[in-house]
Amino acid sequence: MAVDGISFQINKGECLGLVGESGCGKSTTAKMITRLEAADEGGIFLNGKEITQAGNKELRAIYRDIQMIFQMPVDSFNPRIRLGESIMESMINQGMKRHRAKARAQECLAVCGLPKEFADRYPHQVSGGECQRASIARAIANQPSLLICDEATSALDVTIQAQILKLIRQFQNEMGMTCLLICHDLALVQEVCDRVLVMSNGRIVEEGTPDEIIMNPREEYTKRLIDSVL
Amino acid sequence: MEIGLEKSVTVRKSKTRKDQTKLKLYVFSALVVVLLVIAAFASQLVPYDPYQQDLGKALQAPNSNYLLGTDRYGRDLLSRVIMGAQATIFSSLLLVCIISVIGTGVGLFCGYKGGKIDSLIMRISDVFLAFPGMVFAIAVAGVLGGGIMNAVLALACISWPKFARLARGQVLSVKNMPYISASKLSGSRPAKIIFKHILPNIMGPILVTATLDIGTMMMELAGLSFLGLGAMPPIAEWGSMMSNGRSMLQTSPWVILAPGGAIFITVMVFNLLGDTVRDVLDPKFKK
Ligand SMILES: Nc1ncnc2c1ncn2[C@@H]1O[C@H](COP(=O)(O)OP(=O)(O)O)[C@@H](O)[C@H]1O
Ligand SMILES: [Mg+2]
Repeated sequence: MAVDGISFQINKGECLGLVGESGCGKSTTAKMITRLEAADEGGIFLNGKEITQAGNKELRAIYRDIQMIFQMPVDSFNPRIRLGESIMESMINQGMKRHRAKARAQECLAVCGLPKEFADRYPHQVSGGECQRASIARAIANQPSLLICDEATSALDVTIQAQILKLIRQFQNEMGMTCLLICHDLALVQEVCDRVLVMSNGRIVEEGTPDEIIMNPREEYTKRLIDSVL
Repeated sequence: MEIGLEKSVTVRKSKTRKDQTKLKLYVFSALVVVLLVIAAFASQLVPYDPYQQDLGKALQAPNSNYLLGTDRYGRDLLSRVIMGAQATIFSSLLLVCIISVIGTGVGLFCGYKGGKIDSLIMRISDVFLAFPGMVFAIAVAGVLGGGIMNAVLALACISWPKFARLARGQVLSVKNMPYISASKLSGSRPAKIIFKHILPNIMGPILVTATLDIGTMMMELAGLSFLGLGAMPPIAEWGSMMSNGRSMLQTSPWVILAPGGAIFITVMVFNLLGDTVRDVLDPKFKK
């Protein structure tokens, strides 16, 4: 069992961090929230509505509200489709006209700091950081209320990491987005998050503000995690 | 100094090899096109009527009038070989189209759906794969009766599982890629995910196998015809032409060599094209 008996709540407009070592079940948690993986038991609620059993049609509606950014930016785009086309997909699925979706995609790319020519590039023609910007553009295209970033910066180098995080925080402030930031780096979490969950072996072992946790870790595991970073 | 030399040599080697793959692709594609044109315009290209019998001219060795000689009914073998290209090549292409489309469809469905239905269909395909293929095809063709379409059906029955397994394996390796999850999160329906995101990414190996299978299927069709379960006489078809000539191998070898050579050349051209397509689609081969 990858994840067992976890329970937490994200408040509107909040940025919640989820930290833990590799393999402790962070991605699994994200996949269960987005229903990409089925939970054996328990419930998932979005805005007070249970989505644990939502059918395919409901799910498609829910995905307007939940979006996710993946760890491997290049792998999160179909290698045979241009970036712009991938960004437009969600809008076209909602019945938006092609030319409007295209304009919106270019707009999103611009907001994420990419010139609109990138819409015509293939994933292998851009760098990891640029690709991650494109995937943020894809995620915010429908102005979701919850954005999940599953180690969105882990595959990038330090300066790009900071830029991407800044971008995410900017959207969070501007659009009032709620954010679940999955990360194994406590230092990054400390900068951005309002609240942090520490996860170990599929369980949540500690919860609090970043400063509380870093200054006064209660659990042995958290201490080790902090030591390994600092 | 020596290291530098070695380096420059390696660079040039890889460059020439790259160019050759492109060149090979063009050459073999052109040869295949030539074969297809011959097959398509066979009735215009034949020097004599391939079905006109003239016992006075039976079993002539190749000469300036009859470039490949005549068979025991006095029919021109060159005309019959050209005419036979139509039946042989088009039935092989039809067969490969049928099995690759059906096989890929089944594989996509099973790979994407998973679960019980997947296991069930895969066990069925195991059963087909466990039979000795040709024996099963002979049985099916025997039940259906002779005729080239029945031979195609018989071989289609036993050959689709190969493509189903191939496609299913490919789907399983692509299905868990993040871009599939991303597409789900974009609200795409399963059909769109399968045909827009999965199929284009698994087409390469399927295309290669299909091209290489054209030759194999041509041989198997010819084999069935040779056994009298494919094309029916007097239809010109290479397998049945070889079958008709087999009793005269020692006295008039050209009767069997003409269609045999045609099969040999055609199968080789299609196989070479298949190999080249594989090289071109190889990820290490940069455009
Ligand atoms: N599809 C799967 N089937 C079974 N176990 C899995 C699967 N995916 C991940 N796991 C296991 O679940 C655990 C948590 O994985 P994951 O959520 O990816 O960790 P993290 O994202 O925190 O690094 C790991 O021990 C992993 O081996
Ligand atoms: Mg992970």
